[in-house]
Amino acid sequence: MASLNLLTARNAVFGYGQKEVVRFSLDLKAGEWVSLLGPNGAGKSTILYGLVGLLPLKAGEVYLQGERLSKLSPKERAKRVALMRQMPGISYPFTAFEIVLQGRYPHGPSKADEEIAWQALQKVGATHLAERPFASLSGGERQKIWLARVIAQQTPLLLLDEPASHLDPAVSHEIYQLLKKLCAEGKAVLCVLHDLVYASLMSTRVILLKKGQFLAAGPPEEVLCPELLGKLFGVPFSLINHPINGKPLPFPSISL
Amino acid sequence: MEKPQVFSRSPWKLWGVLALFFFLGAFFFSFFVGRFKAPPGALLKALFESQDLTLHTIAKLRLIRTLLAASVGMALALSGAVFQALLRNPLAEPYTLGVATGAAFGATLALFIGVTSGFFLSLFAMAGAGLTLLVVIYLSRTEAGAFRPATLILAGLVVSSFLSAAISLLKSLADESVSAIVFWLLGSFSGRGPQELFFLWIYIWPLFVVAWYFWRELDLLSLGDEEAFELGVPVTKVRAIFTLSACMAAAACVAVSGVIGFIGLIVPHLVRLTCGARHQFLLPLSILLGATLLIFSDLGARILLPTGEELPVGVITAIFGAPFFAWLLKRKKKEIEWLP
Repeated sequence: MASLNLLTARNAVFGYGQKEVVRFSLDLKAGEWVSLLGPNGAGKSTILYGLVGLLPLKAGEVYLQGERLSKLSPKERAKRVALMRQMPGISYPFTAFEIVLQGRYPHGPSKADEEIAWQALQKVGATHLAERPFASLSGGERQKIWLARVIAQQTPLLLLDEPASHLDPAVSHEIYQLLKKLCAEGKAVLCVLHDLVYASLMSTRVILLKKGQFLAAGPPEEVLCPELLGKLFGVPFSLINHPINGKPLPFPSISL
Repeated sequence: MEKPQVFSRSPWKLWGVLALFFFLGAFFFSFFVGRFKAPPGALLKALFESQDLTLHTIAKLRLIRTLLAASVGMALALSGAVFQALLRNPLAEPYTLGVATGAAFGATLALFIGVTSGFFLSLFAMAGAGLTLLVVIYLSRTEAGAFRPATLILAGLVVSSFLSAAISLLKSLADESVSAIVFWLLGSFSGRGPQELFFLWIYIWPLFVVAWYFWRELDLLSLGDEEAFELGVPVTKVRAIFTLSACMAAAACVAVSGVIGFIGLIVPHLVRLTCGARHQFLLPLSILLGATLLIFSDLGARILLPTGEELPVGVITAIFGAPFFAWLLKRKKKEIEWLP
């Protein structure tokens, strides 16, 4: 059976006010990881915010699991797509477990909620943090809890905005490992990244976005080449290969 | 590790029973104690029989006064908890958006032009609060029709400052009614009757209903509008319903009892210290604690002065509330590490 597209966008346009920021077409299936790369202001995050309904669709069509985005109720939409981004500052003493439990909101209150939230915490290996106030956790711990909240939301499509920014290499690695596992279990991921190494290691496809338009799209081996990256960021790039899996690892070839 | 129950961190059931116990205790205490001494049994009996007219009247007045203090305490504490979540600001209270100053201005204007009937005073206060809210909303509305917490607070502050100045102006222009104005501004339950209680409940019940149905949404809104929206909360609608019902409740409280500070600010914080931030527990416990504290404050206002005169209840809540809150801030540093 041909798997259903979890996300379909046809000439979709998102923007702020009168301004058109980004125009794109995209199909995303279960198990795929698509990374969005581009300079600041290229419209990467705009795509994610548009897909969760934070920005109006100005033109074109967007379907989530075959249903038109504009026809979905807020809760119905939140059952199909979850966004993970920079966490907000929290002014009140919610515990980590209560934060994860909030991910169950779109599914309505049910007896299974606590069990599902607990399983999400187990999945990210953070059950020991359950009763701690969220505000007292370290950056890495908070990111794990926020990821558990997204897992508890049980959506087939995950949108990630820099899921491991500001985290040390060990914690970043842990977060990416968890995300890779989720993707392998059948979630589709659309991820905004600045880290070219992880873009190469994680992605099944990479999209280079410049000034709201696709510059190139394809497997990382084809797209993450010095020519295209140079064109995208305006600085020269070189490649080496990963010592274990041989994947291309681009880096700016500039001496400081 | 065992899966926690959401409330295992704080024994909220115990606190709930305690709060209910204290509320009922305060209620009966306030009914039985006062300047006019009478045996509790006789007072209770007099409520239903009018043979002894004096006792019957006193029993009725005490009951209404206690009910009024309890209702205002409940509504102020509940709207405080709601505003702290909606505006994501632990310093928010029912009066943050300027509705209290609006109501106070309406009442001051009424007293200034010679209106003394409690009912008409309430109407003036309610109109003042409503107009103020309209102005604040107009000032803080963005092009897209949304409200940002920071702009709402700023607009509230600006309008409040203006109206405070206008109240001062009226006070200095008024000669004989100035003491009435001052007494009213400090808050009191003295001389209120059943029509004020009825008037109050007309305006505060929607807030209780909204809070009952939408506490989950408050949890999410207290983290951020966008975060709530991503999880499927119809943010604009829920925010508008809460803002309107909480402002209406706060305005009605000011309309019937004057400006009573501190209850709406400190009660939700006290509850958070013991039972956490989840609105499922925060809201009902705030309601009970708000009622209890205001009943005791009103009792203090009635009986504290040896001369037999009454104190404004707002004086009691501020005089006891402020040092208590200060003590709490110093004493419970660890528990309030979540404060920004």
